[in-house]
Amino acid sequence: MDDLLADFVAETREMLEASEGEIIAWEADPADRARLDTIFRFVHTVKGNCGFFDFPRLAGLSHAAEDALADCRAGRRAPDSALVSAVLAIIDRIAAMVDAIEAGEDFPEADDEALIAALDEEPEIEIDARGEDAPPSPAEPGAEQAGDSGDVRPGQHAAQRSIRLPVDLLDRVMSGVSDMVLARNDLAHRLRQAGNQPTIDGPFERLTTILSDVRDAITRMRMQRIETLFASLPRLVRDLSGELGKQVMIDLEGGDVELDREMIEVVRDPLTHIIRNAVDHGIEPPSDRLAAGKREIALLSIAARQSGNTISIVVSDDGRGLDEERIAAKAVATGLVSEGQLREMGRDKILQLIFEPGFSTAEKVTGVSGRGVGLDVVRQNLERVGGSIKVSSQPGVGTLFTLQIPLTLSIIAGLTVETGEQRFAVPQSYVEEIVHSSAKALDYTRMGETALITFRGERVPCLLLSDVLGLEAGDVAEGDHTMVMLRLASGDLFALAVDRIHSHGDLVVKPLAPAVMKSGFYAGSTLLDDGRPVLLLDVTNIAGMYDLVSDARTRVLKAGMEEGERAAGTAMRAMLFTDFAGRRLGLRLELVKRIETAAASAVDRSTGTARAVIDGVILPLVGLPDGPLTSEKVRLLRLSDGACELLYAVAEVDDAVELIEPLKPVADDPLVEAMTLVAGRTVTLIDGHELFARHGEPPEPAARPLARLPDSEWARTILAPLVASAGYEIAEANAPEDEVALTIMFDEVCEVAGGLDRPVSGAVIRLSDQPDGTGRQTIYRYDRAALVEALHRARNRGHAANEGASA
Amino acid sequence: MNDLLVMAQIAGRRCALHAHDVKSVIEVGAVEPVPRTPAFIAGITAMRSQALTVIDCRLALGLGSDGWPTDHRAAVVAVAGHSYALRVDAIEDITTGSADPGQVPGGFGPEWSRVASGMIETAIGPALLLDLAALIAGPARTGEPVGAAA
Repeated sequence: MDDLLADFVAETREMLEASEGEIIAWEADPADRARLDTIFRFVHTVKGNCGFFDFPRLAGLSHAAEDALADCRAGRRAPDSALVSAVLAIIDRIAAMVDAIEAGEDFPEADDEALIAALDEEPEIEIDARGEDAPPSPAEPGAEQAGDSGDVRPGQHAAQRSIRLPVDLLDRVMSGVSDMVLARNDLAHRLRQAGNQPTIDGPFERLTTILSDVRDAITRMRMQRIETLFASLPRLVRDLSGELGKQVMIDLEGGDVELDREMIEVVRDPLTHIIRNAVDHGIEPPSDRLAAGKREIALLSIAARQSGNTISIVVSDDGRGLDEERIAAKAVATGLVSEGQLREMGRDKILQLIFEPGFSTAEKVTGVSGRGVGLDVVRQNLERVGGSIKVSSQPGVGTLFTLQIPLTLSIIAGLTVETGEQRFAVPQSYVEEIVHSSAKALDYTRMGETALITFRGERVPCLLLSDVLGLEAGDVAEGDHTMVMLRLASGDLFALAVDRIHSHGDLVVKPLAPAVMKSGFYAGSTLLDDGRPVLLLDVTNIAGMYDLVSDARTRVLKAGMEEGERAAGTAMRAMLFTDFAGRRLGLRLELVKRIETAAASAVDRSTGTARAVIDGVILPLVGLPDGPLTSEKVRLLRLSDGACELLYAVAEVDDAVELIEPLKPVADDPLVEAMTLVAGRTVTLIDGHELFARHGEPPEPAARPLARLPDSEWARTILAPLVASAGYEIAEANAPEDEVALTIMFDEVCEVAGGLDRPVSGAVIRLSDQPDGTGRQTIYRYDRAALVEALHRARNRGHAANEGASA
Repeated sequence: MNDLLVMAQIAGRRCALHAHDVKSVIEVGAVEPVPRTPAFIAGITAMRSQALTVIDCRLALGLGSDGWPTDHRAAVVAVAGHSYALRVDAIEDITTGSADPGQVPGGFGPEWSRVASGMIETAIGPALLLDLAALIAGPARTGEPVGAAA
């Protein structure tokens, strides 16, 4: 069934349900004005809705009832019992028809006229609406849609089973699930404290998975397609353009993007406002458009996109564009900015002035826009929910508004940071990267009151969280803070210096009291695993307070470019990771060729040294846990010393950092080069030399070289496995001679072959039956060590090697 | 009017809160301060899975908090959908009010008049009946400037 139709049916049913009591009460007391009003509203709404659909009979009935009731309301007629029953008969008939509509059946021809006639004054006839021709007992208004599908009527679609629920109930379920997430987090925290308990960890993992599924489902329950918002826009644009004598075509895109129900309501007004603005101010009258060489009909396009956990809605028109000069003049006139400030500002920044309070360039107030609600309110409303808006425009080409809004309000991924003994949460969506480093490595400088750091060759403004919040500075020296790089929706990057990172995870955000919200620093509060409340920082607003949003950035950035490049590469860098035993380890960054992710099935642990296949090459693998791999994928650091490669399995790759603190050599473990401190925590630096000495191998192509063995039972059963384990494939008897990389033969056979002058390709290993063949360049066939060595040497030297070639 | 009242000492004065406004009286655990907010907001604390805003009533009145003891318990109230924990000198008792709140000639003094709905006679003597919304709004001069922009 058509969605709109389903809505109509559902709404009518709902109203029937709600007004059922009223109808009965009205029957008892026809003079009751309040009841009368309720019933009037019902038939009025039904009549109105029928206008959308082609239901002439329904419209006729409701129209007649409405007329009669309107007379009563106006006092032209006193409601008597005859009228009441006539109206009730019509309402019953409406219910019956709605049932038929839902079932997709034709409603049987019935005597609507008689029902309508009964409304007339002094009627003699009493008509039972549930008469012969109406379907039996349809007026069970409580009949739920979902339950209805029990009795399948012919022609009824397997309509999507849906029920209507009060939003309150959804919210209660949502907050219940939120509390469950908190309880889970608390439990997780305690479990961690108690250490590994396999019997509990398993079920707990399951609980976690289930909970996150349920949460997703609940979140989706609250989601609505943005279509519901878009649906009203074509009409709005049509009416507006008609009123203003303009021709506008609207293009809607991305209606299937889903958004939190509440968010849709939050966005509705701002979006309407922007569209009004665009049609009124942005788009020129048709004559001007033709003169400018544009199509007469303007195009207004509205597109919604989801990226990560934000939705962006772009409203663009092909109108005259924003007039930078006029905006600038107006801003100066109203005292928003001074002439001097204006000269410092780029075009982009001047355009954003239209969102400032008290700004409106419209010279004359039209009926459409300029009703005292400015774009400043639009911005405020969006920012209140963590969104943002910006504008860009080309003169004569068009204007483009970009609205960014978060997907949902209630549960977000977040990072908990600590400064001066207090913790705060930062929405993960803003976090670009976390940099643990020192003042030297980051090139931390104070320019006047502002601090700057150099990040990837860019000068980035840096805010000390303790300064922002007016807290006592913590125990971390200035500049040695952990930098949380935050990327705003506007694309601006800045660093927030905190003492340390505490944790990250899902945060259930609860609103704060108005007095706290008013400060503008916080977007909400959340509870940590241990039940401590923390404040969620309002990143956008804080950046706004420090004027970090847009433009000012570009100038500083360019100046800092060259210096930044110079600063790079001074300190020694290491890759930090956590191994499966939970140790924090580091490896010199130069050793790390790549970070690979391999399926657990690519790991072969059947021999003493585990190996894994990466890109068709077999590499030795170290660092695996003792037990079997629990996950399907394993993260591997691919290390290379230039010639040899090996893989290091890690539980988690942390970050690449600079090693600033002195390295303290460790004597008792040859695998450890040194201990050092990174961000106040010890890190064990692995000795690359020892690691490669023990495990390094040149990459071994998965396609192995062929080795030809002597044709004997001994060779096939005893020698072959040894040769294979050294990385050879055993050649079939008929393998072409030029593909064979190694030939192993007994000494006497070799001599015969030499005598016959038969060509022997590749390396040759000669075996002897006698253990005393030390003088000769043969290997005793049970001298395993020598044999393995010879095999390896042959492999390493490839064709150049020719063991024991002393014929 | 025979309402139940929660009696508390605030800045040395006996005050009364309507018991139906008071959801519970809790032991206040750790309070996380909220920087950059007016001083009367002592911080936030957790009650089960809910965060409460802790209001220091002495400061919310515009009086200093020095010189008064502070009860380790706080009254939890809900105003406009948000929950607050009120920090007072002492939570005394629950009692009944014996009459409608009335005014006294000369008022209660500027700070008190703002938050008081009137004087109420109770079983343990007269007390000032507090208007919660006014109390939570904080002193009229809304604290220090907020938002130290660079």
